[in-house]
Amino acid sequence: MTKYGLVIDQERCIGCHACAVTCKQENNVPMGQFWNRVLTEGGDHIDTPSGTFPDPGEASTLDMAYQPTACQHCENAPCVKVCPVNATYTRDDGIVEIDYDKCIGCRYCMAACPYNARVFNWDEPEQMPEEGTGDVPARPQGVVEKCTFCSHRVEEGLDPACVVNCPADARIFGDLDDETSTVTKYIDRYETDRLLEDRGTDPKTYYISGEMSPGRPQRSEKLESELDERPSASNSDDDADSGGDEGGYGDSGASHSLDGDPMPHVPAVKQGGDD
Amino acid sequence: MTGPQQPKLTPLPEWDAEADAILDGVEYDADLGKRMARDAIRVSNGEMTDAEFHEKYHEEVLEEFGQDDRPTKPEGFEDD
Amino acid sequence: MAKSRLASLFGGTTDGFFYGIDTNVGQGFHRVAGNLWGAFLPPTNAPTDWKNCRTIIAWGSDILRSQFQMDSEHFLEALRNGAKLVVVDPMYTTTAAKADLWLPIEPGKDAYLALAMMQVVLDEGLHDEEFLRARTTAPALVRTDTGELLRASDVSAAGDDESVVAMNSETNDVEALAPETDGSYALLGEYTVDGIETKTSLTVLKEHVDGYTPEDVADVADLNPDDVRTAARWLATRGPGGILPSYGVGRYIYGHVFGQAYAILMALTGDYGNSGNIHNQHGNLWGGNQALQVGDYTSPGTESESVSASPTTGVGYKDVISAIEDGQFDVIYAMESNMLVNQFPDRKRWIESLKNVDLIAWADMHHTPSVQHADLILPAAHWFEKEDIVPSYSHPHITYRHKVHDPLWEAKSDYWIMDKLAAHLGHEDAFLGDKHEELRMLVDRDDRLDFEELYEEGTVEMDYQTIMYQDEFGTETGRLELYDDAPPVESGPGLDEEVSLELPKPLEARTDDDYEKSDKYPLVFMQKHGVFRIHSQYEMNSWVREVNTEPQLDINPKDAKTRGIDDGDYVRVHNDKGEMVVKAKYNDGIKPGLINTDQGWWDRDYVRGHHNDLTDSEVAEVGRTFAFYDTRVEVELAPDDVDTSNYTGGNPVGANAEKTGGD
Ligand code: SF4
Ligand code: SF4
Ligand code: SF4
Repeated sequence: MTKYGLVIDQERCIGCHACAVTCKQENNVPMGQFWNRVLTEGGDHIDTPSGTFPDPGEASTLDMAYQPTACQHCENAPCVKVCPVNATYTRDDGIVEIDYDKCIGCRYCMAACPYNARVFNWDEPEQMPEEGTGDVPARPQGVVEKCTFCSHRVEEGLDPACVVNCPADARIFGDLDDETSTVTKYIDRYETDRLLEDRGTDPKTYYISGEMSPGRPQRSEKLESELDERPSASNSDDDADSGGDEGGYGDSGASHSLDGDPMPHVPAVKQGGDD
Repeated sequence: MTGPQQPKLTPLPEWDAEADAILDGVEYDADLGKRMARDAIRVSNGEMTDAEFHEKYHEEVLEEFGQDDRPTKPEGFEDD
Repeated sequence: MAKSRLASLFGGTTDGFFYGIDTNVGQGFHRVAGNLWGAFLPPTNAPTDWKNCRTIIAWGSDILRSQFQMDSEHFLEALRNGAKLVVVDPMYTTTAAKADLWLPIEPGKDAYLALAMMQVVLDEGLHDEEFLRARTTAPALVRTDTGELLRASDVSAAGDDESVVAMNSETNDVEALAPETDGSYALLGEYTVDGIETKTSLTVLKEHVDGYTPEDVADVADLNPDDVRTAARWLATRGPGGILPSYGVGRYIYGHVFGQAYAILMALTGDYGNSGNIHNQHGNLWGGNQALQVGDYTSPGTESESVSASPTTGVGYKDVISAIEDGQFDVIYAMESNMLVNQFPDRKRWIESLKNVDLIAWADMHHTPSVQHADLILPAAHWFEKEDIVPSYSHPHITYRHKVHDPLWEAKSDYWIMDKLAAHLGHEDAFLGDKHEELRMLVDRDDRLDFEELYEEGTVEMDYQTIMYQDEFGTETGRLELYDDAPPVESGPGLDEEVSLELPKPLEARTDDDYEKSDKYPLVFMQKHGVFRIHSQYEMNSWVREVNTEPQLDINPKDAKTRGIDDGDYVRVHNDKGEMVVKAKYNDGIKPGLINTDQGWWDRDYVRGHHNDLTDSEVAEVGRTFAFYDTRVEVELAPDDVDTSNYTGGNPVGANAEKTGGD
């Protein structure tokens, strides 16, 4: 079986909101709504820490981190259990999805979701630009919507948009049932938390904190399972002098050769990674 | 509406007010929604089984929505 | 390129060498290391090498937020490999949140800290002796009588006037110092040579920095002396490391002193020329390689009969304003720039000055505040609406950008406009009139590239150097010059007398507590570069505006409460020059006494005023660079009658930004 999950490395995350905005673009999310938000763990406002500024010469107690938060794709999803019309359901691959044709807008799922991951189209949704964006049709007024793990991309063998476009390689998507996948290996290797574990929802989104992971190991848009060759997650062994003639700029760090791969969302380039 | 920073993950005591806001003006039974939402977490927690949850609300859901297609239906549960 | 070519045709005026923005820290650095690539920040190892860095000191740089984020992976890789990260910043930034050691420095005190770190390195004997002997002027002897460096001609009739000399402690004789040459040169000590009393340059430096102990400096800069020591020790003893400044420190008027200081500090620790060194926050790999090499295209000279070239004169930004005020410009032709009316300091003065210009024509794809001051607006095509060849300064590729959409409405490409302008001015032959062919011609001039290949592949990686500073330095001596016996003499605001800069001396203008108006305007006003835009670009991006809704004032709750300001109140920030009204944002991460509004907002985004109505366009004699952060203000609750309905009216899009489509 396949069970998709997401690992977010908070040690890597730089709070840039690229995942939030690219999600909006890819999924045609209306104005005023976000399926994916980058919360600041710290003070009351975005980009502010907890604690108070140290007095001169005193040690700092300030603390801040970022917690990108979207639907956690719970194994034990309360939103699924309350939906009277079975519009919210769990797919065989573990993705929790909404059938917008069935959704009657009762919002019981929103009340049940402990993560505030769902948004409701109170008004006629306004897209910008008007004709919408991305590869997903707009949803009508009166339905609930949320992160789909970009199932339309995953079905094509592509990683979710937010994963591909994270500049810090902080988001890793993959099959939790595959013990050789990067997500499984990272969950074994690094200290991870899931949000509100006490609710028993068994989310499939894991947050790394403590020791930093090497992050997403491939530059391709593709799912790891679709690559010809597994990327290596330990990418620190290429030699210091690579550059210019040997190796190439795009090959350093977390990269994977893309030669000839079809990339539906950006024009194919032969070299240069994702620059 | 979702803001960039708010709402944060809500601790249970504050959940009540938030659920009220979510369900405010809903065309269906807001109180039923709240009770079901709360119990759905109990199911997740293992404090209640799917079957118990299903049975507890089956009548009310049928009455309110004219159908009960929840996936919690236990084996052999008779829809009437 | 076409712009320079056009200007060369009829003797226009383009930007001068000293841009006057971001040229401060680099200038100081280049005094020590040789003028490398202009006045901006110095060359640094390619980001792909950063992972080998053992200590990174991000100095006034929130690199993870304000620099193109594609370099963040390299920065993070260094941290993952165990580099120690020190962040020097008066604000607890995203980068500071990842630091092993954060030095919450008092604004404007950076040169003090660099000097104290030198003091630690020399006092504890952590300096890299071999490096100092072979690649710096540390052993060069300085005459005690004149303060000048002893020259070869001073000690030997056969010696030349240029070479500096050092004492060889094995032969007890002086020797001229050649670049990149190790020898048993004395690094510290006093020597009498032919009756002339001298000291080594390192001795002079050591005596100078002994006046800046960590204790002294901690007091001035609100730091902990142990932290200063730790930072210095990490840099000196943990293997290759580096200091990674941004342009931030250069936004204080005497920021070049910091540039001089950190260049010397890194000389002491031997952090040049090794894998794992960093000198700058962006991997400026250009070195000429990432630009098209097109020969004399931009200054055609006499190659064509029809082109009668007259030289273009450069006027630096800092001088442009007085030139405009003096009526020296009849015409301004501007392209894709929002500098004059939004980004330059002392905004109202610029707006006023434009009245002296007969004709202002503006080609731009956005209706910026600057465009609104034009007599003629030329709608320019978006970069997606035209083909072009694009170099980069942050990655080593030349890119062929294909057009993906026809220009909307009446927009035309800048090339088209240039060509027509040239023809109108009597230079029909200046351009080919077909951009594709012009680009082909340009690529054909560059031996390294093949047009068809570039066109097809889209992106071509150019050669670049991974590790910088491996060869002779570009200074007179070919070495890093620790002591300058012909130093520039600085004067400017806050200085009672002229200061000559043989060695770095901390200088301050408005950040100084003794600044004449520090009582009236007790708060220092910074305008950080945020993550949500590049300068003033993308202001109208409605999606980003949902996250970053409006200009805000980061203010420490302590400073706010003493002024009766609650979180979220609209406040008036003001000084003698002007005012702005913005929303207060309590931020415990900003140092009391300092406030911040991210730069780049347009005038329409402010409830009232503008951040650059508060800044000053005054520059110093040597620095010649606008000092945006050298600004003092006071903050009070906004008057009751301010209209904040743009932001308080419940519009989810925020602001009165036009809904221009979310690309
Ligand atoms: S996060 Fe919320 S919406 Fe997503 S599966 Fe869990 S309960 Fe459902
Ligand atoms: S997986 Fe797709 S839908 Fe979910 S947050 Fe990422 S981009 Fe949005
Ligand atoms: S795109 Fe990546 S680095 Fe940026 S906020 Fe999202 S997870 Fe963090």
